[in-house]
Amino acid sequence: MRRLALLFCISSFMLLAVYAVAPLRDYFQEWKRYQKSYNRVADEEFRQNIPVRPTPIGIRQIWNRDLDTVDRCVTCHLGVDNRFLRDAPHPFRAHPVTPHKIGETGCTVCHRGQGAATTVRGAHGRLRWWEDPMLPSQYLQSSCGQCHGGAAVPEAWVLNAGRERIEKSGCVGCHKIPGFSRRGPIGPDLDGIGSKVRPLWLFRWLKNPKDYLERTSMPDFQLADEEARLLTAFLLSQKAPVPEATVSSDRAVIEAGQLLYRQARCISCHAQGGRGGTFGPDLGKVGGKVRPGWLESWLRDPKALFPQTRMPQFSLPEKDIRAVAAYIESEFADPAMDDPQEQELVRSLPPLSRESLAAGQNLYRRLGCGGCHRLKQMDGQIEFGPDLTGIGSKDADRLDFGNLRLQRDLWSWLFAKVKTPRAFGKNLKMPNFGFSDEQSREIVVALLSLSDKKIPSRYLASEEKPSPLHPQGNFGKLLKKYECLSCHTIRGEGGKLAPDLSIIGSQARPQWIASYFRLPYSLRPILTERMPLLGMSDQEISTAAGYFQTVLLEDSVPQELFPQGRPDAPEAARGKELYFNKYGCQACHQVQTAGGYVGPPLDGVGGRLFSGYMFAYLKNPQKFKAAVLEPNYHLNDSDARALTAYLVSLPAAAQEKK
Amino acid sequence: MRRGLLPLLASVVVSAAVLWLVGRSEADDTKSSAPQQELVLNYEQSNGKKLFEHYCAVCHGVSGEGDGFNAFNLNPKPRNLADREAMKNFSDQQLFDVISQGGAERGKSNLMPPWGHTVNERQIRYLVAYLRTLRESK
Repeated sequence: MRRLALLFCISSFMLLAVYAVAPLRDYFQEWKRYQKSYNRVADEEFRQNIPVRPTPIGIRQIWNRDLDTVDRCVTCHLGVDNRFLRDAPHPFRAHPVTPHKIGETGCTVCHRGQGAATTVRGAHGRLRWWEDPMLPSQYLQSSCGQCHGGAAVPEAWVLNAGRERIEKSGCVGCHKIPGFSRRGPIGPDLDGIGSKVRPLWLFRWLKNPKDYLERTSMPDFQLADEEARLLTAFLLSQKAPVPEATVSSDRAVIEAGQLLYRQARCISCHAQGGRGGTFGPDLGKVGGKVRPGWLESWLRDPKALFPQTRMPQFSLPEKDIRAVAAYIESEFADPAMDDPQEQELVRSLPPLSRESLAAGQNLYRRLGCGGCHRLKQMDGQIEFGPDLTGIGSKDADRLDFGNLRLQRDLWSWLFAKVKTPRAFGKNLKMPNFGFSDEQSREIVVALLSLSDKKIPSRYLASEEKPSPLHPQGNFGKLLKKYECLSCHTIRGEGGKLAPDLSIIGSQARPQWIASYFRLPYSLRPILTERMPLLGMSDQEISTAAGYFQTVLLEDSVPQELFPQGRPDAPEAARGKELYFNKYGCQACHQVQTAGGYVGPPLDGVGGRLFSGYMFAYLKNPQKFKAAVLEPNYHLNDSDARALTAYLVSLPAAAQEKK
Repeated sequence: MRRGLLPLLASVVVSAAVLWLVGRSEADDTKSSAPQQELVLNYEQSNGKKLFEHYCAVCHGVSGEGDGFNAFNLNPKPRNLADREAMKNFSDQQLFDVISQGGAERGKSNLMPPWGHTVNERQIRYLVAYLRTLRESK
């Protein structure tokens, strides 16, 4: 009996102890420590007249019903929305100013991690069975891309850079990536390459493309010599009907070619040894690459050899084509191209036979050359890389890390895949693109944004795209012949190098446009890329100018602001006063060689632009050019009109009159 | 036995002292070179940097020292925004106002335009945050 009483006594004490542990454990919760410490900070700050209120002790959370997230992060991060705590210590520091309201969106939608956790490790750490750990800050902008698809996302520069790099590097050649589609060819067509390039160049190019062209997007396939020889022989067997030719070595011809080369401003698109435009390939060593006969045919009509090329067709007479080819072959020689070495290589190539060609074809297929290049006989034989839909939500435990010893994170894996794809093991197909650390991070950010999280449609940022315009008929042919849309944009389609032409008919006067086509000049001396001299015929010029004046218009912008096109003198004088003394336009624009040159010089601008457009532009420059530097001065109508009057009255500069 | 132990002990003490000194001088090195290191910008500052390089650098220069390519056309010259001593005289609100309203409105040169209708309030806050990170390169 006494033993039973003792046992009862002991068990009662044990139960008491258990009851005591629960409140003690609750009292010493990690988050309570943080909240108490926050209240001490708050008291201190409050004493210095900074409005920081202490918090009642208790779990706090943001519940976002639409996204189905409950984020208790604010239990400890108590100062997130108090801008007076910008310099407070973590975890009380204010969140940086963002376009989103933190109290509404919550935390884990951007930062990932376990929102319901109330311990430091549980919320931030990499836990077993928790598949969505917190994103390191360098990859944070990937979250913007979950809702913001498509074009440039404001304030997410890393994501934008990554998306641009995916676009430029031709990743869609082999991978299916949501939001990216194949627009035009990634690499040049390879039909006829045997008549285009020299064997030694091709062999070296296949071995390491960046050796010849540093900026190329062609990756390094790390081919063995034997493989490169096989592929070289296969590609050299692809001939085009191009007449063989030898170029003139006559000094006078070469000099004439040089003059033509400069007049046409080839350097706007093609750099020479790194200096010049980046739209086309650097021509610094092209003499060692292409055969003269092919070069002449190319200059005559590039589209006959590569229908989808972005190179305009310059209307040059036969004599001039010869001269330019002679100049290119003599000026852009490649000292590394050495004839004895070439002969030795040609001797070592496998002989043309059914077997060697089949082996070359196999290699071409296995490497996935067809992802970026077109070769008619290999059409439809593309082996694709993995589909990247939803790659940003992949569970790290399901990834194959191969030989690599990495932190088991999705981002570490993606980073290694992008930067050193072959490091995972042998026999992997993906070639080495030679991305730097920074470039790789950008790409990983863009890839991480491809999550399969379900986002309600009202969260998705849709971009307003103007209805596209595909000009047909004579003007459509001109657009194609001169590849205007390589540099210019019309209604959202085209390049960003040169001004948008969507409403050019309401902006520029037809007489000025015609004279500009005949002799293009740079409106801004600071630009490097300049409009090439295309050699358009009068007929073509009137077709283009006529199309501008009938289709590419903005009805809300009247052409002329002043009756009879002439403003009265007092208004122009008031405009001059405003120009110099009130708005300080001379800071950026030149008039008679005085003033800054951020914007274009304004001498004779009335002969170039319609006054109605000048007025509308001055009122709201960003409406017409989204990223233009010209500030919106919020001008009233009277000031804008006076300024326009002054600008219209400005005479043309001396050299332009000639 | 004891005779063998003494030099051993001495050498241990000496090498420990040398290591400590070397470690300390290395620590000193990192301390003195710290201001030269590039600052890691936070979200606001990075956004401000992008905006600064787009809108402001033509006159104020990429480094903010008032040496943009357009600066030599201007009289008065653009302010050196990297001069930390001078910049201490302006509160964040004052910087915000001069960016938003322009120089003329704040009794300065009209060559500094008002940006309040070109960029939004948040973007001006980013710019102010970035201005606070500028420092002279010399």
